[in-house]
Amino acid sequence: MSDHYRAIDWNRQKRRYDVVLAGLVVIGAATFLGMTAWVSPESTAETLILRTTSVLSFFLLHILLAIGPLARLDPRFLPLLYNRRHLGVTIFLLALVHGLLATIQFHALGDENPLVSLLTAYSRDYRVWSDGRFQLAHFPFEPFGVLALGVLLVLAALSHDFWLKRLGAGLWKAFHLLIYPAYVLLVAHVAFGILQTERSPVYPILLGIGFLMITALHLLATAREKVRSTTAAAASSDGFVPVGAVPNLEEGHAQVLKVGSERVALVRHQDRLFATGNVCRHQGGPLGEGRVVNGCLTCPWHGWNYQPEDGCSPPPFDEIIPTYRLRLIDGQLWIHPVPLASRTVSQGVFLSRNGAGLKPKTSP
Amino acid sequence: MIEVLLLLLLFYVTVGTVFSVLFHWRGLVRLDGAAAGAGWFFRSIITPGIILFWPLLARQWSQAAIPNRSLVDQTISTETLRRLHQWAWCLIVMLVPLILAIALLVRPPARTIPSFPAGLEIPAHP
Repeated sequence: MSDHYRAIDWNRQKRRYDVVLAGLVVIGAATFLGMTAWVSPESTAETLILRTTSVLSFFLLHILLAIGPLARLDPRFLPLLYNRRHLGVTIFLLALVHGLLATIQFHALGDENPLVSLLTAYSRDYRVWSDGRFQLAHFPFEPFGVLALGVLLVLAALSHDFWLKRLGAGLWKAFHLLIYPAYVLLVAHVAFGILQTERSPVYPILLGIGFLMITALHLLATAREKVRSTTAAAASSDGFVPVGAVPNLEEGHAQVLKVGSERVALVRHQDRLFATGNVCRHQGGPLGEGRVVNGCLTCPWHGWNYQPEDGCSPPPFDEIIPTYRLRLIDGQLWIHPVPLASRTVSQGVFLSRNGAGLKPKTSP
Repeated sequence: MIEVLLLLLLFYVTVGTVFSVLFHWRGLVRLDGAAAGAGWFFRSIITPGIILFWPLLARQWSQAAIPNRSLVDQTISTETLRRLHQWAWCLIVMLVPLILAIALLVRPPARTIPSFPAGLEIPAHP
């Protein structure tokens, strides 16, 4: 959590994650190099490195884009999400090697500044209007790659928790949505680059499969998201809104509830029901999909902890999430959409062993 | 045009590099107490971000009277991020097939190696 910064907060899980990631890169690189050398034995070492770094980087980007929806569809994928930033930095480093090598090989041996040549050389031969007709073949593809590399650089540079704290979780997450434009730019880079000269159908087929896979995963994850909503129209005179019957939660489990435009985590802890903010202060993880561990609601993404009673992280940490008042009347749960004052200790609402309300009670 | 843009970028990065030296020397710990005692590896990891985002950090440093104050508080709600995410995917679903279709449609025909005119064939090894 947020005590002191370290370059990398190593632990067993992160070490294992990075070993698997490094293994994937080495095995992937060896496989692709071997296959390319076999299929195209005339390829030079530079070409082999250029192609290997680009293919690996693009392949890992697909994995990165698939992790979020996979973790939502099945909690067994959550460990992949835990150290996703190392995967992102790896993608950037591979793309950087590709970009630098391509610039050196194709643009650094003339009289012109390599960066100027990189951004202009291709377009000198290209005309949108040629021989009296509109043509897109050989459209300059390098600027797409340069822009995508720039986006990956920004995301890698902001990956440390230092930046999360400096920018605030909302802006930090908004920056990381740039990964989607980066994906589109890379598709354009590949489509107007290698696809124009490489005749094998393997490349467009793999691109299409990758696109369909991550699109389908995102659609599935959106469709499967179960969020109960309150009805503002039925609010009581003191502002409580009905949630419905008491949710059938197991001890230590939580659930996401939509109250107006906000999402709230309903948590069952020590046979009481508490309501806290659903957004983790770390990276905005969904606390309502977490569990209670050692008396604290634990974020499923990176394990940040909050006490359900007051929303505070346990000492020495100082993160706080909002908490909400609950009311239980005749087995029906009500919630007040205005958060309690910071650090207010709530008693929650008491539940019987089978989850039903013991007696009408208002929290705190 | 490209030359001018690259010069501006070079200027921005140069200022950012100078700023990063000053920031490591005087600003980092003052701005964020959690960075006290952090090693050179941590400092080197955040340096590219300092060079890229030096105007934001310069503003935050100038407002450092309030310790550990975040540069931008949580002004972007989770709902807004969710909507941005949905919009991003709507655009991706439209753009990616469009780009692929255009790229495949305009692809020039495969290059074929012309056969040598009669009399110019490469002689076979004796």
